[in-house]
Parts: sequence; C-alpha cells; structure tokens
Amino acid sequence: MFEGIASKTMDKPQQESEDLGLPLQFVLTDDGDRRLAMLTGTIGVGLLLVLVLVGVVAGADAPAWLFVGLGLVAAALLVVMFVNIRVWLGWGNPQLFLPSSADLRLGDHVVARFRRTARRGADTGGLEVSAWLEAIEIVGVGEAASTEHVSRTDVEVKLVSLVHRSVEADLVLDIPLGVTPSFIIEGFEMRWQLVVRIEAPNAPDDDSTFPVVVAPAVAERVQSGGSGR
Amino acid sequence: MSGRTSTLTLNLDSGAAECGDVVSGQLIWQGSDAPTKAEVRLVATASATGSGGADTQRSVVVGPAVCQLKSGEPARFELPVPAKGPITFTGAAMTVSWRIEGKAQAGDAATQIPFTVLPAGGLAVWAQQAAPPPQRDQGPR
Repeated sequence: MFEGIASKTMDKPQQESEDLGLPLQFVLTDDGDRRLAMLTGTIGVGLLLVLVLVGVVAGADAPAWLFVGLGLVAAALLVVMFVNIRVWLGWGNPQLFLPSSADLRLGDHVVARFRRTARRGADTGGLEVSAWLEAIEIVGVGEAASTEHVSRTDVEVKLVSLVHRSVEADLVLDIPLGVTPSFIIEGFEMRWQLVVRIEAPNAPDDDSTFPVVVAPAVAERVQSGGSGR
Repeated sequence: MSGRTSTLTLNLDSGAAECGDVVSGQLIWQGSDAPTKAEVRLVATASATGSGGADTQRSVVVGPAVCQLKSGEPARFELPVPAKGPITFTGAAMTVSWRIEGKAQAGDAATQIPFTVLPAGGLAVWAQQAAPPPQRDQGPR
C-alpha cells in the first residue's frame, strides 16, 4: 500500500572493465526500442499466422470482418515493429553513466555521462544532443484517473566526443531545491525521468528515457551552505 | 444537574519535521471520567487537486502510538516520520498533506492538527530561506 519512493525499473548493468577516464560507477541503459520491436513483431507475426490458420481451416466460410480486423491489427503492430527496429538498428542502446547508485537529492549538482553508438549506416555528422528532466505527477484514482502533469527542467549538455560513430556528452543535472521528490501512494505518483534526445540528419531522431529517483532529502552541499536553486 | 464538558487536546513540540525524523508532543484530557487510553496517528493524504471527493483521496497511516490518559496530565508520544516521505506539497495535479490525529479508545473524543513534513535536511534550509512557518491550527473536537 505504501511504497514510498518509486523504484528504478531499468536494467542496471555494472561497467567494470571499460575505462572512460572518469570516476563513474553506475550505469543505466535503455533498450526500450528493441524490446518494443520484439514484442510488437512477435504479436504481429502471431496474428498473421492465426489469419492463415483461419483461412486454411474455415476457408470461404470464415467471416470477412475477422480477416479485416486481424489484418489491420497485425499491420499496425508490424509498422510499430519496423519503426522501432529502424531506430534500434540506427543506434545502439544508450547508456547513462552516473557517479553512484545513490538517488538524486534536492539541490544536487551531478554530472552524468551519456553515450550512444551509431550502428552501420548511421552518420553522426551534424548531430545535436539535448536533454531535460521531467517531473510527472500521476493521478490514477477516481474521476481524476489517468491525469498527468509534466514539469520540465532543461539540462545543460556538453558534447565530449563525436568520433567513430559514437557520441558522448556530459549532462549537468542540477536538481532544484523546491521541487517535489519521487513517491508513490496507492494511485498517486511523482515520477522523475531524464530524457536525452539525439537529432541526426541521416539517422532517425530518438529519445532515450532513464528513470531516476529524487529522494526527499536535501543534498549535503546545500546543507553545508552551498548554493541551491 | 451541571453539564460536563470534556476535551482532548493535542500539543506538538514542533509543527514540522523532516523525513526520517520523529514527531513528538503530548495529549491532554480535560474533564472527568478520562478514558484509559488514546491513540495518536500520523496520517498522510494524497488527493487530486481541485477535487474533494473521497474517491480521489488516498491515505497512509503511521502508528498508532498509545497514550495512557489521566485527567489534566499530559501524556507524551512519539511517531516516526517515514524516511521516504512523501513531503507536504501542493502540485498541479495532486496535493499531499499530513496531520496528527488523536482519538480516545473509548468514546467519541478526538482531535487533529495539520502537520508539515519536509525533506531530510530541509528544516535548516527552509529556515535560512525564510520560508513561511508551518501552519498550526489546533482544534479539539
């Protein structure tokens, strides 16, 4: 019933051998494009097989609406699969390197490293990276069910490297002092996420979303007299 | 025959506390025939902004702390504030508010006070920034 802070749900592989030259320990990754492509592709192909089976078994006796309905749904799912595969094939899984696994705090100043590698055929020339933090108020009870309100805080992006079809950028996360930390209470949720957008002229534009947790605590740098927004 | 009035009063040591800290105070029964025990709870209520219906509210309860009552004598209590919050806030889509509730185990005597929950480390910071003091509105029922 009372879950406190929303837990991270993304995969968190630990990077041990790769040396980025920075004291970064904790990695978030987002392979949502691949998972969605696999899921929609599997369901779409499955529906097509059902269509064929119905046609073979029932033949001319099968109702036309069944063929049309199943065909439209399968087609829509296959389109979604194609779009996500195209993105996934254009770009490798994005990675976000954080200084530690600890949750973010109010007033925090954290520099995270974002990295994504373009696969064969994608060109990083003319690429632009932008990022922002989203605070999403979610109400899922009563007549206000499924209400969402999104607040956005832009994140400073410092492009570090753009070579060998790989883009790396430092993201300066300044958590404002007066924002609401993450929490969940039975249908009410405050969810935080970092969105990184890559816009490239010869590759599909893509948003990578990394869930983050903002704890109900003030960063030590603020408590000890540092500045906080 | 004289009328008898009895009241249950809640006094807090502070109207605000940080996540992970404790809220403390005392419960006082004034009147005759004091109930033996009373319970004190810390309640957080999340509600959709702009709506007042119970179907758009959800509450979380911490406690109860049980107090032994004697007429006129304060009974101390302490309750932990959850380290994971949530903090008191009003957003665009929802509001979270906290309150302390005191209720006698026998009878109808009850009282409640609004309470403010701040982030850990927030009391000093908010004081430095001259934030408005937490609301205190004692209202024995």
